[in-house]
Amino acid sequence: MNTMAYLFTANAVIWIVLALFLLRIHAGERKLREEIDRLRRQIDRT
Amino acid sequence: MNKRTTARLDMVLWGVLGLAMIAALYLAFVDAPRERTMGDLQRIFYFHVAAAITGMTAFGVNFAAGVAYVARRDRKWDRLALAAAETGVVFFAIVLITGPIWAKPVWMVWWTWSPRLTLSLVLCLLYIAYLLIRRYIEDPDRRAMIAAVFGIVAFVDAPLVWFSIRWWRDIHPAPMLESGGIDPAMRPAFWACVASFELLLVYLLRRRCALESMREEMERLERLAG
Amino acid sequence: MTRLWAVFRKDLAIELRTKDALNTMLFFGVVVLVVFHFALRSGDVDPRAAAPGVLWVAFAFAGTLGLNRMFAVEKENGCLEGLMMMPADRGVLYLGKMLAGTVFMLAAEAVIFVASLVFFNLTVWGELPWLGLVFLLGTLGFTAVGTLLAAIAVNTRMREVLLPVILFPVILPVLIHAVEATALILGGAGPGELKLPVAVLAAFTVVFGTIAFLLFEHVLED
Repeated sequence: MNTMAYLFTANAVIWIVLALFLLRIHAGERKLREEIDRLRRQIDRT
Repeated sequence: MNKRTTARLDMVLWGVLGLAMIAALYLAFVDAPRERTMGDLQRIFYFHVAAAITGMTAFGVNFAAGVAYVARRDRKWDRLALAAAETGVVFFAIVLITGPIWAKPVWMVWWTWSPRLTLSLVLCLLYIAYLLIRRYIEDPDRRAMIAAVFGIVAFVDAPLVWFSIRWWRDIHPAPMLESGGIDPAMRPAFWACVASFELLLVYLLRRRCALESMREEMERLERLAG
Repeated sequence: MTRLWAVFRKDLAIELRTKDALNTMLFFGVVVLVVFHFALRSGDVDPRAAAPGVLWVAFAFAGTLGLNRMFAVEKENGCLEGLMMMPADRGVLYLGKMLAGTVFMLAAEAVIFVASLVFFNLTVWGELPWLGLVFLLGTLGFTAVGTLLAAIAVNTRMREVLLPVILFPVILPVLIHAVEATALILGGAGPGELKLPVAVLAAFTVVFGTIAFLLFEHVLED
């Protein structure tokens, strides 16, 4: 059972770290897209 | 390449990546035989080693992109170098966390200063230093150039670190990989994990590069908007 | 060649006029020795086992200080811009600075070493030539990559603070071989056993000296 706990923890770590990295990229993309749209509109208006 | 072709390629990449992941998980956790002495614990090994190999690939990409930037001074190489360094650090973070989780029940210690483990740690430190340097230089062109130089130094340093530790500090038994290679029955799982992580690397690099071009686009617009 | 000599002499002259960096390096190195005496509780340890590591840590810290100072001074008084107008290869600038840094470090090391002999109660007459060789090669390896990274660090927003962080991971191979070689010498090993570390230290110097020589110009501000 102990073995399984170690196996589980290790894999949890692997996939959580990867998921966090993907989420970070995703969040960055969304923020930048909003910012770019905002700037585009602002430039169009002027 | 036009936009639609790129989008299609992305979809293909997604599909292949998903299939490879599922196959790798199946092979590693179900299909591969239980190891004789370590039992199921050995299954950590597949993704652990795959992460290390993929991380090394990422740092290799960083080096190549750094050389390309010094030679061509095209910012796309800098974006790739940054993406590769970050992704490599993420993969090596996985290696460094899963390593002790595996070592504790098998070797009864959390950490040994074995060449592999030490090299992983030093690589992590080197490329975190790389990311730190980037953070503290404002001018994009100078940042790209200086980062490229440091990336080259770091990558050339890696084998030297490896041999230094190996010659002086190799007092620990070599991990199972060394002696006679992997059991043939475990090979499919091993290579599937490596392949799926390498595909994941390609995917992550693409996403991270795209993010970086968006950032540059935003900075360009900010200058336009004043 | 004459330009290399000029850069080298200039750095030496600046330093010898004030001796700021050198004094700080010496003092800091000795402080490190004292700190390590208590950190290691040296009363309990075999001095010949502890000395190599402690010495090289002191050397590395002192060297970091010295390299930082060498570039910070120039950043402050705008001397680097002047030097860059010199009608010579920037690589020559690197070599001159690297050699000057090496000389300073060796000078500091000599004093720190003597202090460590006293603190560790060591007698080393016969080993001196070999120790000298290892110190020289280790220091060359250190400054070969240290000069390049100091130029990088001084160009960042963090300035000097960044140098140890980026230098120490890179310098690990030098540190490992220099410490092991010093330990071998103090342990009474013959020249045969020193071949490997000495060769590696020399190789490190050549490899990173070449890389830095080629890339130094890209690191300097245009």
